[in-house]
Amino acid sequence: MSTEQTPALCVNIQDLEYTWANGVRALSIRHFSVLPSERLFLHGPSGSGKSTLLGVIAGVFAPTSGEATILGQPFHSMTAAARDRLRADAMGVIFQQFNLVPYLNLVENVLLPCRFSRDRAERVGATDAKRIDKALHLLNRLGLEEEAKANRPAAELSTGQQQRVAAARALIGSPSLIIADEPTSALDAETRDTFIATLLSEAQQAAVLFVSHDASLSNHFDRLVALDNINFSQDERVVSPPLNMPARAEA
Amino acid sequence: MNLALLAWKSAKARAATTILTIFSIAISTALLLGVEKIRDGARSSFEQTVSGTDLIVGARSGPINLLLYSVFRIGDPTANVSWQSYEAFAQRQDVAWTVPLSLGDSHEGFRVLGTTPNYFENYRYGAKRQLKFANGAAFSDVFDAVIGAEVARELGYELGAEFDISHGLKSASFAEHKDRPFRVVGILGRTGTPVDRTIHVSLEGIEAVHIGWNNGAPPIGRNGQISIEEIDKNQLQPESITAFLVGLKSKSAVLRYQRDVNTFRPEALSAVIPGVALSQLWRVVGAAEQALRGVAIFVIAAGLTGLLTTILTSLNERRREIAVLRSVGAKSRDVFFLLVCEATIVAAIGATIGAAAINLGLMFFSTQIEAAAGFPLGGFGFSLYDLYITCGVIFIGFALGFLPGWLAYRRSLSDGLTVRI
Repeated sequence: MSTEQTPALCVNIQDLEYTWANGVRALSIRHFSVLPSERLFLHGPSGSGKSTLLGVIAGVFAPTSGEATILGQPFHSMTAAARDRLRADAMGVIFQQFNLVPYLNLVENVLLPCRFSRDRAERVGATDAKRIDKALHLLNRLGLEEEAKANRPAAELSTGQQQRVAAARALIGSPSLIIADEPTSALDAETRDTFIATLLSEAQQAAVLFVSHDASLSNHFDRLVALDNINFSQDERVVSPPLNMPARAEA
Repeated sequence: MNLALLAWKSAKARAATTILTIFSIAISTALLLGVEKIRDGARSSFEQTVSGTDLIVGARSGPINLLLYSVFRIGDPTANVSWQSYEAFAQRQDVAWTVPLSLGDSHEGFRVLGTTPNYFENYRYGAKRQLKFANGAAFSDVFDAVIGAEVARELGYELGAEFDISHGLKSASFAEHKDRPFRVVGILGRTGTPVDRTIHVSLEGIEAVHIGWNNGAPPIGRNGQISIEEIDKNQLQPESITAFLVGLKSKSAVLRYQRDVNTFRPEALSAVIPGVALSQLWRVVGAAEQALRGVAIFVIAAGLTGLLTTILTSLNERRREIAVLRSVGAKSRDVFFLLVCEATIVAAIGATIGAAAINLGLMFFSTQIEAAAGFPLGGFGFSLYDLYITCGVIFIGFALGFLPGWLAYRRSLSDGLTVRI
């Protein structure tokens, strides 16, 4: 993915269908898009298919039919490896919890995308030393100076600290799209607002796709989309699921 | 390289299980290599029990039987060789030397061998090594004895020690030649052959203790007994011997000599070529070595199964870790290789430690092991075979890694970025 050309839309989904191997359809979306640098709040209660949609946008799942153009790349017609590469190059992902690889220290966790993308590594810094500097700098800005210097294993941090490390990892190397899947569910109200504010201010040019079941968080964002309003998978079931398998909308 | 580093850190993070797995692979590799080295040592020392002897001649019997009683001192001859026949074959033109052997008596469970002093010159073992005296010298008198290193060690005999010999093999034999004391005049250096467990006396000594005996039965009544002083040393010409070793002037004469012995009309005799008989015997003994090797292979299989179990068990707790790696751009096949790498690294460390440990262990403790095993363990040091086995274990570890690798690969495809356990 080249960063020179700025695509008109960061995420552009047309007539997307996603059906699980067991025949359960999780997604049926006519249209969904994210603008460059947009801060979009995607509201979705559990079971609404949001994990599947994020999987498609991140390139982990290939659409069953329809188009998903992500950062200008036609994900619906690309190989899994090419989608993986784009994710390494130009995306940052934050989960609800357990974001960190327990056996790596903070800086190694933050620099993890550089192991999978040369482009990204070069954007962060030309040498290992420069990259480590950059990671430390980012951790500093997120208030993790002490923890980073102590070289403590990631598993020893509090949940709030772990989420900030995850944010630093998502932000490193200026990705174009940041996907945050319920990143604040494990945090208390106060930490939550600080976290969102920090994330949005550090994200700068990147588009932020923030997914949560908690609609009260939407005031931090430019736009709110309710997944229930765009996903019609529940209404028209194409194939009925096998009898012994509970119908489910997500994995 | 990146993935290998990640795999290494991941293995290090679960230090306890990783170390135990490495340990079990190391132990099983060391066992397999150790068994192989001891097998090799046993085999070569076995094959070199007697060397430099062209033929062994004894009463007619199978070659293995003849070899067993004449060289290994196991079992008993079916018949003897008359002194006349021995003389006839010893005085042939093509003979360089002969050594007569007379067996049948024992002391404290050690075989007594009656022979001539040229036994110590002509008997060869290993790579044509000659017997060496640790102490003293060959016998010169009727009741002189030369004992093997193991006899000296176990019985604590030194030069000048006196002992009786008993008829037959039991250590508490009924028929003891109590009135004929032998005296130790020489102690041989350790050879790792049955020589170490043998008491050597002169043929005349064997004759002397049997004077008055008839058909293996002791003299009856006071009249039959003769005191040491009464023995006429000139009458001690033996009537028969058990077997004799032959060295020929030329190797090309071996087959002709053998044929002459085997077709000797006056007496039923056999001549065997030691090397041929030894390898025939090894084929029998070799069944045990195969069993030993089989056990070692099963132990290796157990060690590697442990590796597989460890990695498979860790898969569940690593689902989130794998999702995280996927989220930062790891391909599904990276996940596969991560697990294969981990299995390979653990197997490689285990196998290398095992190979190093057995080689160092045998290097430092070879003397003790040789003393305990009773044979020298030749050829220590890292061999090509060690390299094959080490690489083999690493390769199997690598191949076993495909199973967890494939499972994680499949799972990473269906889990996507979200893992809910």
